[in-house]
Amino acid sequence: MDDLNQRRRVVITGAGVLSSIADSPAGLHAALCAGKSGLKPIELFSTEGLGCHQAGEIRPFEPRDYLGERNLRPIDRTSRLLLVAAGQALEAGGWTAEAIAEREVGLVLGTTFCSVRTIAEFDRRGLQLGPSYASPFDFANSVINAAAGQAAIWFGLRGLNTTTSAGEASGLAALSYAANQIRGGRAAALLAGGVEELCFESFVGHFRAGRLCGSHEAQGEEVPIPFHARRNGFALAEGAALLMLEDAESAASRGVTVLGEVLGHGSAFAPRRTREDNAGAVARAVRVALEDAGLGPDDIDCLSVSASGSMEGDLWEALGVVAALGPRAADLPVTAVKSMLGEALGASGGLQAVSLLGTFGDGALPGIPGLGLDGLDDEIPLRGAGEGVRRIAARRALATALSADGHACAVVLGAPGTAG
Amino acid sequence: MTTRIAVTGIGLVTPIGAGRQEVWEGLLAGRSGFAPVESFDTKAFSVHLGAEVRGFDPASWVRRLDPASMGRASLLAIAAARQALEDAGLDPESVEPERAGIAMGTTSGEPREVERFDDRFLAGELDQVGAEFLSLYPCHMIAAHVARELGFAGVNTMIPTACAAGNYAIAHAVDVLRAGRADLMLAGGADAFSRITYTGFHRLGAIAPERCQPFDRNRKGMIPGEGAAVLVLEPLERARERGARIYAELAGYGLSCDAHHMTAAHPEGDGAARAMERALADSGAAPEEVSYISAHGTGTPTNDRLEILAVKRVFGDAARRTPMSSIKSMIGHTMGAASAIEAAVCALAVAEDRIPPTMNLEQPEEEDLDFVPNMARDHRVLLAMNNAYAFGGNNASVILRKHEA
Amino acid sequence: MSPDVFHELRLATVRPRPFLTEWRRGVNNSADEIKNRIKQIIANVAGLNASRITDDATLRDELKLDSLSLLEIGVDVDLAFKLELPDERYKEVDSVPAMVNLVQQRLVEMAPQMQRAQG
Repeated sequence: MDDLNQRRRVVITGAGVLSSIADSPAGLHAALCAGKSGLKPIELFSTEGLGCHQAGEIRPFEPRDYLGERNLRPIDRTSRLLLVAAGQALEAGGWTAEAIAEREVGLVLGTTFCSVRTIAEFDRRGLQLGPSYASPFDFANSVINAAAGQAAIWFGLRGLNTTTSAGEASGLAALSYAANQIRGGRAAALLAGGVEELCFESFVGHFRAGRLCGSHEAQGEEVPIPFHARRNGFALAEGAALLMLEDAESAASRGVTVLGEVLGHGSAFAPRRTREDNAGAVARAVRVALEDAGLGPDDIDCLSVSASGSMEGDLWEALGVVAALGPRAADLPVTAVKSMLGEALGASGGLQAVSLLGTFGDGALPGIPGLGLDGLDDEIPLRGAGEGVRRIAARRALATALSADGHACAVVLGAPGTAG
Repeated sequence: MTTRIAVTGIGLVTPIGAGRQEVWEGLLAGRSGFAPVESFDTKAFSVHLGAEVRGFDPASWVRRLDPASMGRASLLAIAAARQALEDAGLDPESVEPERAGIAMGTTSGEPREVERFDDRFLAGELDQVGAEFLSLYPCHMIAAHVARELGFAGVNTMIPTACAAGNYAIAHAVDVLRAGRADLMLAGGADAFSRITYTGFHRLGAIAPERCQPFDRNRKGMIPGEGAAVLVLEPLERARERGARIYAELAGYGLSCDAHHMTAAHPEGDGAARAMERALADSGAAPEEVSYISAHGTGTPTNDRLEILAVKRVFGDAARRTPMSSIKSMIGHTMGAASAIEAAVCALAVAEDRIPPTMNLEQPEEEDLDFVPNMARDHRVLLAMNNAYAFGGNNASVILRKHEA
Repeated sequence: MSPDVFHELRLATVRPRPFLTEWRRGVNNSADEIKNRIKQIIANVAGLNASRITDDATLRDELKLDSLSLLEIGVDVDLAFKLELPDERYKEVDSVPAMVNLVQQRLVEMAPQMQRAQG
C-alpha cells in the first residue's frame, strides 16, 4: 500500500443529515444520546396485510423549509432528502458557489435503490395509460445515479460524481471510495455518504424476504433492537447523511475547522451465506482498514456497528469485529445507531459516521436503547453493548457495516488532530 | 511508482454474439444486432427495434449457483465473467479468493423484477411477491452473484452510473489494484433489456425508428440493447510472471460531472472534455498520442454533436487524424455494459492493430473527422481512448495502451 | 391543489394527477378555460403558482423551462385534453398562446369523432 507518510490526509470539514429523529448533525447527536427513537407507525403507505408496521419515517418532511423556492417538481423524494443533507454539509463548511466551482467539489453517494418507487411508478403509469404517457421526469429519476445527478445540478458539483451500491454497506463504501479519490489527488473535496427513501416497494420486498421485525408472523412482537436476545429483524428507515471529505491541505488553505479524519478503510465480501464467510469478511475488512490507517487493534477507542436487529447479521458482524480486534473488543464501548434510527440502507453508513463526529466533539457515545440488563444476547461477544450513554475519550473510532448480501466495510475515523 | 495494470482476459455477451472472438470478428465485419423487439410487445410504441441478446443461454454458464435465483443481468454478467477467466487462462478455483474482487457497473440493475412486482401490484396480487424481489432486484446483486458464483471474497463493488457505468467499474478496479488491495479484479458491466428502459427512451423521443447512425447527419436516435462485458485486470508484473497473454495495459482514467441536466449533456461538451483530459493526464499521454477513440456515439442528434465538440476541444487539430468510431452502430446501446464492451474493444484494437467501423454512416456530420465509415481497417493503435457519458452528467474516459513485451 | 405525487401513495392503482382527470372535454370549452388549465399544468411542472404565468409567457425564455420540462408539459397537456398528438406538435410550442392554439385547433379537429363517440 501507499507510504503513510507521503499520503495525502483526508479530513472531515462538514456534515449534513436528515433523519427520522433530527435534521442536523448536532440534533442527531443530541437525539441519539437522549435515546430518542425515530421508529413509528408508518403513514407514508398502508401496511395492511403485512406483519410489520413501524419504520423510521421522516415526518413531517417539508422540503421547502430547507431548499427554498426553486422548482422541486422534477425531483423525487429520494433526491429531495439528499438535497437537504447536501445543502447542510456545504453550508456548514462555508462553501459558496464560487468555492464549490473553484475546488470542483464532487459527490460519492451510497444507495441501495435510489428510488425504486419512482422506477415502479414510471412503469405502472406507462402500463396503465400507455407508454406515451409515461412521465419524462420520472424516467430521468429512474436511473440509480439520479439522486447524485440531481444534487450535482442543484449545487453545481462538477467534481467527480459516483454512486456506489452495496446494500446496507453502501454508505461506508462511498466514504471509502471518496477517501481513496482524495488520497489519489483526483479530488480536493467530496461529499460522501448516502441516501435512501422509505417506500412501499422496498418495504414489501424487505418484509417478504423476512428481514423486517415482525416478518415472521408466528412471533408476533417486533423487536428491531441490535444484539437483543429476542431480536427478530430490523425496522426499515429513510434518511440522508453526508460528510464533506477534504484534502487536508485544501482544508488548511480554506482555514476551516476540521471535525475529524478518515484514517483508513477496508472492504471484503462473503461469497456464502454462512457465519464463517460473513464474520470472516468483516474481520478482513477491519484488518485492512487498521493496516491502512497504520494502527493496531488496541488503538480503537469505540465502535459504531451496523447491527440493526437482524438475527444473523448482528451476530456475524460482532464476531468479525472481535476476531479482528482481539479479546479487548469484548469490553469496548459500542453503539448501534440503528437501535434508534432503524435500517436506512444507503443512508446508514453516513448516519454512523456523522454520529461519530458528535462523539469526537463531546466524548458521548450513544447507547443502545432497548438493550437492558437482560437484553443482550449471550452469543454476542461485544459485551460492552448496553443502554446507557458512555463517556469516553474518543480518539479513534471504528465504523463497520455488513450487508444482508455479504458486503463488509470498515472505516477508521479519527478525532481532529489524532492521525495515526 | 504507479502499479501498471494488464488486461489479460475478455468476456463478452452482446446482441451480435458471445465470446471475445465471435464478437470482435462480428464488429470488424460490421454485423448488425438490431431486430424487432421480442422480449415484450411493442405494439403500443411508435418504434420496434432493439438490440437483444438472442440465441444465447447465459444460464449454461452458471455452474455453482441456481440460475433461477438471479435476474437476467446477473446471468449475463456471470457468463461474461466466466468467459473472461477462461480467456485469461485462470481457473477460479485456483485463485486466492480474498485477493480476488469484482467491480461491475449497470444502469438499471434487474428492472424485470420491478416489472414483475408491478404486474402483480396492478393485478391485485401483491401477495404473490415473495422473497425473490429482494434477492433478485437490488443492483448490487449483480456483482454479488458473480462473486458468489466464482467464490471471490475480495472487494465487491457495484457502481450504477448508468450509461458510463462500465468505465466507472473499470476505473475503480484500477484503483483497487494500484492500492494493492487485490491481485485480480474482474471489472465490467451488465444490463438486461426491459420494457421500463425501452419505455423511458421512447418517451424521451430518443429511439431511432429504423437505423442507428452515429455521427451521420440524418441520425435519428439510439437503439436500446442489452449485454455484458467483463475484463480480467491484474498487476502487469503478475501477468508477466504467469505468462499470461496481455491484450493491453489499462493506462489510466478520468471522471467528471456536467452538473447541467439530467438527460442532456453540457452544451459545450464541458464535462466530456474534462474527463478526457484527466484520463490523458492519468495516463501520462498527450492527445496526439491517442491512435483511436471508441466513442460513446449513441446516434442521438444531441449526443453525437456534443461529443464531436468535446473531442475537438481536447484534441484540437489532432482530432482530424484520430479515427473515432461507435460500435453502438452495430450493437446498439447496451447501457451499463456499453462502456465495458467498448473498453474490451479498445483492448483488442490495441492488441491487434485493427479498429471497428461506424456502420450506417452515409453522410458524416463533419467532413474533416474520420469516423471509420462502414469498414473496419488495419491501424496501428498505441493508445485507445474509450469515452462514455451518462444520465445525471456522469462522464468517464478510460485509456488503454499497447503493451510492448 | 398540489398534485404532489408523494401524497398519493396508497394501495391503489395509479391514477394520473387528479386535476387532469377532472377535466371534461367538450367542443365548447372556452378559450379561457383551456388557457387556465394549460397554465395550471405549466405551473405544476415549473413549480410556480399559476397566477405568476402571464397570458403570453414564453416557456424557454421567460419561464426558463428545459427540454425535459417541456416534454413533461406536452405529456400532461395531451393527457388532460386527450389530444393524442405526436411529440413533434408540442416541440413547436414555445408559449402559452401557442399551446392554447394547439389545443383549440386539435379539439376542433377531433370534434367529429367526439360527437360520434357520444352517440
